[in-house]
Amino acid sequence: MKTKIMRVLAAFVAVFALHACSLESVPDPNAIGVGSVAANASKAQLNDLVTAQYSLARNSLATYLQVVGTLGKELFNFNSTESRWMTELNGLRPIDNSAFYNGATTGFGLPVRQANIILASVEKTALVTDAEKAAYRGVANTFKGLAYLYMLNVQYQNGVRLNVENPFKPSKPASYAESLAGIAGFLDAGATQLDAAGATFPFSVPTGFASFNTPALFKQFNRAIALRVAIYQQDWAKANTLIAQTFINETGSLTAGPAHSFNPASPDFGNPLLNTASVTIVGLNEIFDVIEPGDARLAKVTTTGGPFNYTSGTNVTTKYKANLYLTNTQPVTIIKNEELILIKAEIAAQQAVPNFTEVKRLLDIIRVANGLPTLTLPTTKSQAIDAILKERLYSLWYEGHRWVDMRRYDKIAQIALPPTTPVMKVLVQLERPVQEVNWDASNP
Amino acid sequence: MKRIVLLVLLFAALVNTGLYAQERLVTGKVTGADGAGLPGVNVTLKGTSTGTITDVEGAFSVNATGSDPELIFSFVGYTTQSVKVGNSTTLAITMTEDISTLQEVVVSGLATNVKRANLANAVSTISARDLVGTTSPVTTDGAFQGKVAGANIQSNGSMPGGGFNMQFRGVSTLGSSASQPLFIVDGVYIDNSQNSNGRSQANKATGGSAASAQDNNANRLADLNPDDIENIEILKGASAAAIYGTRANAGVVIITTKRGKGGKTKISFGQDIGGSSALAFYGGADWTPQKLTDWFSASDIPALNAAKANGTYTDWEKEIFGGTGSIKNTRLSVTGGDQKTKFYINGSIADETGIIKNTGFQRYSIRANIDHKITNWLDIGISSNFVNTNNDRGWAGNDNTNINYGYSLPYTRPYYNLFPDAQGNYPNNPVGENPLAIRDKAVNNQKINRFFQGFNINAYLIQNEKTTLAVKLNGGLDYQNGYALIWLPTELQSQQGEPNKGYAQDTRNEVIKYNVQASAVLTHNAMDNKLALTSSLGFVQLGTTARSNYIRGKGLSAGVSNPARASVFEQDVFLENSTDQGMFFQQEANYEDKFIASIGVRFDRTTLLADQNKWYGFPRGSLATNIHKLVTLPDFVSQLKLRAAYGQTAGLPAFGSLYSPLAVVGVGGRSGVQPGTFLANANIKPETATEFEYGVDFGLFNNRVTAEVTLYNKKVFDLIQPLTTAPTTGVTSTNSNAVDLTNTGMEVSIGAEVVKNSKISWFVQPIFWFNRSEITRLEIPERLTGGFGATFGQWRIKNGLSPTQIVGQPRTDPANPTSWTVYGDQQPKYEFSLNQRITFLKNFEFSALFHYRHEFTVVSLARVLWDEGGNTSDWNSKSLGRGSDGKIATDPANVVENGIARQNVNGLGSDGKPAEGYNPVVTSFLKLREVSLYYRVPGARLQKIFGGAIEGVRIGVSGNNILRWTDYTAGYDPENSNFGSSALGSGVDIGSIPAVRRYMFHIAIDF
Repeated sequence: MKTKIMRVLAAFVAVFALHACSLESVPDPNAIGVGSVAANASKAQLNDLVTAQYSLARNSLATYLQVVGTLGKELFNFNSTESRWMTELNGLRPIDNSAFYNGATTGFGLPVRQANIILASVEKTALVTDAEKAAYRGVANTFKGLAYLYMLNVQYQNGVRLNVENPFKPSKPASYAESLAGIAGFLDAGATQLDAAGATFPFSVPTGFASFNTPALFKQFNRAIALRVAIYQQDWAKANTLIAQTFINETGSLTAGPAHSFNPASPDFGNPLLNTASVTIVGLNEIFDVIEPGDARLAKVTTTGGPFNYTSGTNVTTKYKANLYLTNTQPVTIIKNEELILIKAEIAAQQAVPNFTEVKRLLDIIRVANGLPTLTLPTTKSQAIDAILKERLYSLWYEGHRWVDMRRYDKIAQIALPPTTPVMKVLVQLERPVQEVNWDASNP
Repeated sequence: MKRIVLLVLLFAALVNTGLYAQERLVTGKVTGADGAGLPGVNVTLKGTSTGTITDVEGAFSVNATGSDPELIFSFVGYTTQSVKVGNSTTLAITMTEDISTLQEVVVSGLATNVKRANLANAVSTISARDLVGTTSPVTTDGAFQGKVAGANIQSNGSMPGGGFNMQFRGVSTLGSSASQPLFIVDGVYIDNSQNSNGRSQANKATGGSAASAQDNNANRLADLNPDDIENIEILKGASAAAIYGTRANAGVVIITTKRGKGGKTKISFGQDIGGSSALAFYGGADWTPQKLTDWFSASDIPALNAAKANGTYTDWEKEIFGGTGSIKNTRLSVTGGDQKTKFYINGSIADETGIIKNTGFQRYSIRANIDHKITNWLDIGISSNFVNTNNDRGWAGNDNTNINYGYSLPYTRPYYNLFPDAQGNYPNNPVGENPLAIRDKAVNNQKINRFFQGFNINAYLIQNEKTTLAVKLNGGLDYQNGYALIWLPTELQSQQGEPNKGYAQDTRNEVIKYNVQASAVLTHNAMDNKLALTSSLGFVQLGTTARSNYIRGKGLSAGVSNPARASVFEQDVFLENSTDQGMFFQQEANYEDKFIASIGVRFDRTTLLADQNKWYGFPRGSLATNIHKLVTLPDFVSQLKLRAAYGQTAGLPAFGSLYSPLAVVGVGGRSGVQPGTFLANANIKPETATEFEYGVDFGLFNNRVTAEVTLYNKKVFDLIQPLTTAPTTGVTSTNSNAVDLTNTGMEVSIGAEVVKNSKISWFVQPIFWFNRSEITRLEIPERLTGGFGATFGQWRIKNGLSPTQIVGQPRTDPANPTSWTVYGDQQPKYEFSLNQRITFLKNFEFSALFHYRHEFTVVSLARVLWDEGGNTSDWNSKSLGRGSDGKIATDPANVVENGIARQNVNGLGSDGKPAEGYNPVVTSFLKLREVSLYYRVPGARLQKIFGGAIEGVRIGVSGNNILRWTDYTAGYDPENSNFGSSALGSGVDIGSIPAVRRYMFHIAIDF
């Protein structure tokens, strides 16, 4: 009996002793961690990060273009499962700082963070050359500026937080003017870094950037975004300097420019701007009914399958459905030659003594290319601006400009509204997302 | 560590081989009131652990020792008797049924039990009779509703195969650790998660602002056959569950399955046949040319007129939801054994189809529980259960492509033509998808093969009058292999709108959970057997390994459902593993059943925390006093017990929260890595709960009336909450331990045998409970979570308020972006249930369980959809008197149809209650959860007809959710939940299907 007891107890104690050994920690079996690039990142690691930076430039693209397009009443999202696109974004119901469409602001946080991670990693590595470092920095700062610019377009007078390196100590939102200046600063820093980046990039670029695959060529893209910032700042002198540094080509393809590439096979994803079973992007009658006869840009929409009706929460009908994107792999141009030519016309109109001949010459490039007669020479600055805004409406349709353009020329009230009861309103900006408000409320 | 080794040695030191006193063999028979032998009755010699159980005839034989031996006869459901043997060698004992449950044995630790009469906690028990005796539930958790004080159990929907959200005593986590209780079946810690299958990607439901998975799958407790269960014990709070340590914050549910009792082999056969149908419909508003002109498209008028003229005007809701389901359950069990080996074998088939064609649930289960006594000091037992389930869950819930019929029907007008033509082509639905085509062609199937294996080995090293020492080793394995297929065939209208037409996903899940526990239990009687001491000491280890893979294909050839044959792919492999270790020590003391005290401590460590070798300690203590044994009470008071208990438990962060992974992305033929928006925090501690529970139990009139009244105060500290950062920083959240909350509540259970005579007995059991939660510390910004935005209502995490408070638009101060209107609380003000059982004419038994839930808030988008679609049953009425802006119209000419007026956030009405609109609603319901009538064919008659071939026949009819009363008008049923088992944010009604009533006929035959 006693032996039996002692044996069982001995086994019990033995198991117990085994048990008291230390447990092994479990490393993440599914992925590498953010910490792996914090110090002495290799060239391969930095290349991975910078490729994702190109990828992240597509973050929130559809939400942004569709929200901003809806706000500017150039397009509507006839979404069969979500009526808030039509009601809340069109001022028919209170705007909601907690709803899905705040992704048009918040979706640009991650590309900014990616850029900051690259900048920090480059700072703490000795495994790449100084020229390579300059290339990584230049690309990161360019995309950082672009992401901030989208964010600011939606937030407008609310401004953006220009310093978010420490996500737990972000800066307070800057004023609109300070925000623009800050964005210009990121872009200008990027341009300087690209100048120091040597002749080639240390990484391969995605197909959409094939024509912008060296530091010098990429800088033309950087300067084009900086040009947008400059005209928002109404710094026409700076704009005039910048325009020459972009890829503007008055005789080249109007659609030339760096583009987002898409592929539906994971880990990539397909073009998010396609119409789907439940998302029907439509152009408004108020825009396409009044397009000049023969304008080739009418092909951006189709009347096939129309008319298109929306009856949830409000009643809207239109003849035109978006026809810009038809395949999953179709690229989306970030900024195109056509926009640069239109900006060049705008610079000419904004000179102390407006150069109307130049405005007409540049707008005619666009008009003739689209099958329209040339323009009557404008005689006043206001005529010239209206002519530019009209060409911008059709040339840059579904590219997120109409609302911003009408806002910067204080013409929000002139935006044509569809006939609904009650009448829609054009919001000037979206509210700050509720998480942003809550953060500042508890971190004064 | 040294101290524990010393304790082990102490056990050894206490070894006392003692001498056996004079022995005498006593034999006898135990019968019930009807004279039939009672098998399985425990017969123990008082003051010792020696004993036996009666065989199938009720016979027993036991060695009586000592000078004045006294035998104790106990059996669950019967009053315990104590009989002095005197000089007799044969005894005839008649047991009387005990309607109170004071004698049942309840778990008191990881290796020890206590009689309910001596229990210091309010442990709820559900017996087999409560669980499946009235009606056959689809799943075990479904049968909990209305039976457990302190439990808030929400059915996620009405699809066959279940899906329940179960919370005990309020909120124990805000989402990071397990929101569902720990389930332990025969000592095996089982998996109760919901496997993801990609359905919410197929219908794009996971596109919106809601982060939680919306696959609407069943939680895997559904695999357990309720019919196998003997008994369920529910440790609701930290005071009762403390010995389970870090996994126990949401409570522990201990399930014991049936085991062989020995004796003559008994064969039982049971069959249920029944059906199900919708409790109520929601749509049905008429369409007129005027309605089309005023609010929709006048161009549809000819189609409307044509449909009305030629009789094709169809109520599509009834076309899809108006069907009846079938219920066919079959079971066959064999139990028996001899003195050394006992077995229980049960095979069962549960087969239900839903009210919607092509939905259903089948479960095939076979179980073998075997116990064997190797020698008089060593026994082993195993519990083996193989289960195969097959679940077609259809298409309901949130959706962003009109695929779910719950989402497309609200918009589908009666004059549309959706029936397939002679060639089987389904017409396009102007809404975006034809619900008939989805019902007939789309696949959402989940199959599980699952093996539960439990074992226990008990070595009784010392067994004498004063002392016993047992060393126990037990544990087991839960192996689960799941296969799910989602298929949206290419020809579907919604797929024709996609760039890559056709969608299929094949998902494989493998989950392996194991646990092992070794313990030593020492009992010692001191002070002339007045004081019984029980010490237990042990350690446990549990581990989880899970792998899930999927391949998702888009762009399929017609008829192809294999995603590997698609033109575009997405795929993933996800791995998970974790290990926990724990040690426990517990000391229990019982002084003559007058004072029963217990203290214990558990230490745990886990790889789910950054420092996997840090031990966390969880103490507990309890005291119960049986006043009626101390002082003389009035005659009608048969029992009075005061009790108090305190304990601590913890909740662990979910797997993965230690990591800030870099995700792989691709663009333009290149691939790269990017961070997520969640940032890991390595300093996270477990969530800890402390609970103080106290109460009084009493029995009156010889325990014909028993009552249990419990108050508790459960505090949860260091809740792991996302510290929601400003999302424009690129980080949306990190974990923090920045929240504390308290739950206080009350639970009252009463059982009363109102009438008891030879003709009729009437037993009523009212249960009443409520819980209040409040956040007492919040060191992070307040935040909204759950739901679909403030327009429809969200959960607000804010200091001083309930975490389940629901707020939304409109703002009370338009200038303040967080001044939300408060719409009440998701937790009900109180719940009440009334169970009654009437036995009459000797062989008839009627029972009914009513369940009432009072004033809780539901976020409903269901009505929003029906109103937008123009089909809500009262759409055309102008009874609300509101204008198109939703405000009460001052001029009657401005009053519009309810369906238009409700398409606004209408806020609180002048009576302070939510007005009908987009905003949340406050509602109550009363449901007749279960009702049944059974007839037991008298034994004499069976004997006459079948000779001895058939021993018992029981037939009956039953139903569940047969009747419902509710003021809920914002959807089909206030219990629907789009977000499954989320700790916060469940209870969102969107795209739901009707609540279902089930009814069935039963026959059970014992051979």
